[in-house]
Amino acid sequence: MIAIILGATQFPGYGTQLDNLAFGRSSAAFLGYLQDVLRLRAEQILNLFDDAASVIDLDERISTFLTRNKDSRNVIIFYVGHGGFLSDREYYLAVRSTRRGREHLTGMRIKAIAETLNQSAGDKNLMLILDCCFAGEAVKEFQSNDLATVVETKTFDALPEAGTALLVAASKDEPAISPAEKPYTMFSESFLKVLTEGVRSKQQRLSLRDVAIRTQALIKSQYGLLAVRPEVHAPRQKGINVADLEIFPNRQALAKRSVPKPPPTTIPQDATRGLVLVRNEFTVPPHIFTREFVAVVSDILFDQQEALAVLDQANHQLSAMDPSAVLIRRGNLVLGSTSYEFWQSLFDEAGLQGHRTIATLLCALIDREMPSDVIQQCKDMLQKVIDDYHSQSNRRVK
Amino acid sequence: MCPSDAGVHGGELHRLRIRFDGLTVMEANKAAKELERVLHPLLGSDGSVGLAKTDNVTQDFGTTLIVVLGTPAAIALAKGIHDFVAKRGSRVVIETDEGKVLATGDAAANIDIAKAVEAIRKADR
Repeated sequence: MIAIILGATQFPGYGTQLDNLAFGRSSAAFLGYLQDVLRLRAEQILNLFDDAASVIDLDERISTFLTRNKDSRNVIIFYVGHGGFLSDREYYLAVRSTRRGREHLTGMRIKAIAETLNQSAGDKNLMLILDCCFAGEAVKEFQSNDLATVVETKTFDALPEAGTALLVAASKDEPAISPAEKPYTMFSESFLKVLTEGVRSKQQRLSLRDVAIRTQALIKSQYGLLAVRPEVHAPRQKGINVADLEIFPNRQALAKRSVPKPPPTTIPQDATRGLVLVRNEFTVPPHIFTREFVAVVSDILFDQQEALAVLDQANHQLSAMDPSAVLIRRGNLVLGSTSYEFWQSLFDEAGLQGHRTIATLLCALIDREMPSDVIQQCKDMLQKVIDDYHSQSNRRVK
Repeated sequence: MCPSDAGVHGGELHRLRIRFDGLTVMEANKAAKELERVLHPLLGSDGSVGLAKTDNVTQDFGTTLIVVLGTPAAIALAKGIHDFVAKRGSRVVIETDEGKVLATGDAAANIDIAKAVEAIRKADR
């Protein structure tokens, strides 16, 4: 594997208007990841971040670097900075030498990058990570044109498997954000966290898609309505979908392998007070779970794999408390629907099982990485469930 | 040239802002860059036009144009914006640096060139 880093902290051609220290920190953190986790050697990394060279020189060095490393199968390209449009609406990225009013000559056109990569690395797996505004606009430049598609199809067997995937900080219509008070950009902060901390309930290596999904969830949980949702695309696939290549070490899975297995659930004590006294004797009235509560949970845990992991944890805990407990069956859930419908069906199903099932589900939610206000809402909901159980028990005794 | 760095080579120079209402950030970025290209040759040797950022947290180049122009170029500026609005249908607002609106134009009612020129000429008085 080889990697190229692009972008800049300062853009002298614009005065100080575009300068942003978060770009430098994000780039440095990604470089650290390449060196410390992926163990790339100096000759495997081309760091052009904050390089003052012209776009032609940068392009030449990229081309030379790719040619020199022709045996490497996988290429990662990371850019952090500003993205924008030329007057003919062509998309480009700013580098240190980009100058105001001369962007058509000094900006790094995505179309030109795509051409260079096609010439010098067309037989490799390319992964582009673009942390800038409207980065989704870059995707179309990496799609095969009609003629290339015909040629590739006709000679498919003779070509090595290769493709291109992009992880972009923002869609083609959205601005990426670098919050003023934060050390990193919104995207890089969560992206780097996923790379360095890994993903629970995933295999030992993560694909770009795994990283993207977890990054989306982290950004959503941290920024809520202000979140800018990253996207993953695989516009070029010659026998392989690069977005699904498992190449990033999953720290959490590797840690699990090397240390004794912890208990499967770690339900917090303060949330479980009284849980053992709650049984599945009655159904839970549906009005307890307000639409607002379901919406909050589904907004945070919109990835279905994450949601199913919560369910698995709850079922495991139910079995631990009572081996004969009836578990929530996945087959009863509205799979493949919107996140809201899925969570509504999950709460409905758990509510039909009874108070213990739904309380255990809430405990599994409380155990997730979520904003503190959402965890508090889950705790409040848990208390309502416990109170309702006692209320129904008392009515039956009377 | 950066508009804020524009020098005064004699005569009266006006500094104006041009912004776009009702567009997404992406569309406003594109529109500003297109209009910059339209206006650049119209402003004379003392004039300048360039993008400016109004939101420092976004990773883009800005959605507002800063224009510096001499009084004689006001007609060309107004005509250029008029033609741009007629072609694109975008809602364009011309205002002073302090935010006082001088003229607006959109698909339903394009800017009145004569009134816009008059407003620009009076803007700094």
